[in-house]
Amino acid sequence: MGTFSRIFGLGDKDLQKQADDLLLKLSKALQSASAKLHVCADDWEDGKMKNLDALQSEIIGLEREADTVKEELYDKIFSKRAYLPQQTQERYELVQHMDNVVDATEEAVRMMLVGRNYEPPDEIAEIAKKSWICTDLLQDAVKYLFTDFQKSVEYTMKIDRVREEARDLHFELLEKLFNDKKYKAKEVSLFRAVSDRLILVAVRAENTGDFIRTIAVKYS
Amino acid sequence: MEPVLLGVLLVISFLVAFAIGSNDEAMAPAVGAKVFTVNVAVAIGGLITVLGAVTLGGNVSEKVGSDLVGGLTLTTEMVFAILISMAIWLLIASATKGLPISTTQCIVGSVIGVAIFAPVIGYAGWGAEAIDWFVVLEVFAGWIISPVIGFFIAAGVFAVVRRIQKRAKGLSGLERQERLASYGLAAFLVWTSLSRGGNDVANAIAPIVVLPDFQGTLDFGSINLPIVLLPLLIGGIGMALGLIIVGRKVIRTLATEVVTLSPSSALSASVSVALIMFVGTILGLPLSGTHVLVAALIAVGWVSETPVQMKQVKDILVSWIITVPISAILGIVVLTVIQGSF
Repeated sequence: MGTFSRIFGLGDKDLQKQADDLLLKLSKALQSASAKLHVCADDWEDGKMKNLDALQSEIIGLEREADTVKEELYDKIFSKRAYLPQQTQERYELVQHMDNVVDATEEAVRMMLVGRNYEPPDEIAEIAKKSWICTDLLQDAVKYLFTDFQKSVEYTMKIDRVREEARDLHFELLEKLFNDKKYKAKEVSLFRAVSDRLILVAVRAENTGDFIRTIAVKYS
Repeated sequence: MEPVLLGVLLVISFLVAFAIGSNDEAMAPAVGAKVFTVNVAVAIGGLITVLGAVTLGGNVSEKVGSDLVGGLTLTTEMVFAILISMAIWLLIASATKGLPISTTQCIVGSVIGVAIFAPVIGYAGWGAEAIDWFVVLEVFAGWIISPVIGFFIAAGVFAVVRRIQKRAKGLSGLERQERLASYGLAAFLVWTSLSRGGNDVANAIAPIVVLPDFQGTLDFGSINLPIVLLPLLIGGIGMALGLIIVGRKVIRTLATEVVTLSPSSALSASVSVALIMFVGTILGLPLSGTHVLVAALIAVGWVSETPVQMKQVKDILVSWIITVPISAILGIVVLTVIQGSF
């Protein structure tokens, strides 16, 4: 297929391998950033402040790495037609969705560190854990999208369920913040901002899962 | 024949071939599936068309519209009036909105116009009674049947293909299938263009290949080439240039403005069209390749649940309906103008 591929600009296998490796790298960066966010939330809750800055830097570093991977995918691979245009378009959208999850992780950790001097409610760490589980499941959904649609869909369904649990926790927290008199206005505002950003990680993981499911349903 | 007149006839044939090439093309599915870019499609299509015209166009037996006027022979002026009017309408449809219309419809329309109008300008024995209305009815029935058959067969073929595709467990397997389909599509359309080049050149050069000037051979030492290669080459080049210069607009309409195609859906539509036209020819059904193709593209879009651009479909349908009356009027006008020229 070599010469033929070059004539029509289709399916260069080396580029496809590079693209697959980069997608895997992005997937790992996404999951790793979210895992660190979960650790960060736990440490914040436990008052272990010394690691927070380092964790934030690592998450920001992972976000930058994800951006580099994304650009590399766009510039070096998609533009050179590693895949047929329809396939390129689907991969492009998938990469965008995944990058949005990493972006949300960075936003969440930054907000968390803004409020490091306050003692967070337990739900913050729990929501962070659920968000991390969502991204962990998402990593599997992405992996299986290429080899097994059914398994991939199963993982996206699991993401939906965990995201719903995260949403329940989010509303429990809001109820507590707005009704418990022990929280001052500044704290309500801060913890709400943090939880909104944490839940966004789960929501974006769910959106990515929905997109994966759309592709899987379309072709299976 | 006078060299000047012979030159004029060759120029007319070239223009007719140019018009046919601008509208009657095979590459749209490959462009729609993004296997070829428009530039690559017209370049390959043009080259293959010339090759097809020269290698397969030798057995030209096309008698322009002769079935429609059974018992009578069209005069040279009438044949050229029919061909020129067909060329004008094909070019207008291609160059303005890139609408794919049927060459057969153009011919039928202009034959009807020319035959009915002929007595007015002194052709005895012609008129409405000279037309075999049963054949006309058959042709009309074919135009209605063509899209219907095209739709259902293509939908059926693509539904089977989709079922096979569902065996792919993941995106990688599916992409492999689509890649294979894209190579299949490229090869299939190259073959289709080759046979189309051979068939379509007949419409353009049929009136001139029978002239004595194009009989015999040209001797180049030990190599003898039939002189008929000259009009075949001119016709082939005309069709290729028509495709390259104007045909890209028709390709774009069919490729991107009706439905979104994938390599597998485009291959299904193309194979269905070839199958239908093949069976239609064996059964003697007067099917229109253009109608079948448009219906097949809509069908695969429908099966794959991609949106069909109904406005564009409506424009195409309107162009099909007005083709016959417009070709008839153009036939009359051209016959009046060229009367007594040959």
